Amino acid sequence: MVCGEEKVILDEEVFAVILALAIVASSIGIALTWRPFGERFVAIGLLDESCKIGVYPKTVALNQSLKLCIYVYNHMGKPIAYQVMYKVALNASQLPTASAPSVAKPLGKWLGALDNDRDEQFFAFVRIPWDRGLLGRNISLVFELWVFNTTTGSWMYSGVWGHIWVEVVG
Amino acid sequence: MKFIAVLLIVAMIVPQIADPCSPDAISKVVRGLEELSQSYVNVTSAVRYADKWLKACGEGNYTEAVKVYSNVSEEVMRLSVFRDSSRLGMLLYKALTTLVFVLIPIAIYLLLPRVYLYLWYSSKKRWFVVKRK
Repeated sequence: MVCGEEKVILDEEVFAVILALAIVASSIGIALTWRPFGERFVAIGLLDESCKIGVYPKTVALNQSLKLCIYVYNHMGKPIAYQVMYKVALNASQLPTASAPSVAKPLGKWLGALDNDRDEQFFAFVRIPWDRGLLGRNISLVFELWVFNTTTGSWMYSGVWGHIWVEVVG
Repeated sequence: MKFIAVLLIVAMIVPQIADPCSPDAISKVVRGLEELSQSYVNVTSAVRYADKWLKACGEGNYTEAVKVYSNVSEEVMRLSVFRDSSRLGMLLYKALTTLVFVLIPIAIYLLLPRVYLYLWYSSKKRWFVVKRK
């Protein structure tokens, strides 16, 4: 330091950068504190009898009981009442879409309630309907997720489902 | 205010419902849970009962459904007492967090040069000052 020359010990530019970083970090912190809840959705997963993705049955017999595992997840920002419906689709046109459920009639259902950001796995024992017309055909076992809508007071199709194709053998 | 809120919740849940698995019964309980959840009340215990109740409904176990339905209703009523305090608590928590975030840059602006100077002088307090030749 030269005598007579004005010099600040803490460099002004360094100080300005530190201050700017602190302001940006604080702004992000405030924004995160007051952020609204993000995307709201529910999810369903169809798993095998070990509750894993992978080993699904390829063939089934008429009236046979199959053991599968269903996974349900809630990210709606509130608790939900859900219902998983089991249907058998005879062809691709009977599969559900994101906007409409399958036209096939329900053959089984499982109900439950989930808090926000919680998931659940449970075993589903499903039976292939006794119909000789199904022999040798490929059918789809469909599991649709329905959520209870408190505004309408009724069950509403959530737009998500899981399905597996199986061949019906004698 | 709190008393009226409790009465409203009770009035929603308590009426005798003939079928505990009817859409009307489900609607009342789920709406109660949603309202509590939106007031930041921890509804985990009530949701656990509701899950048990709906599973009993799904299995067609009417006796169990009636029993657990009363548990759900009681739990929702019990939790509704915490509605106002939970909402206020969350608001306070967010306000305090915001205040801390606002104070951090101000604290850095005011304290950093002083702290730096203090450390700078402290680290050199045993130094000797020699006149330049």
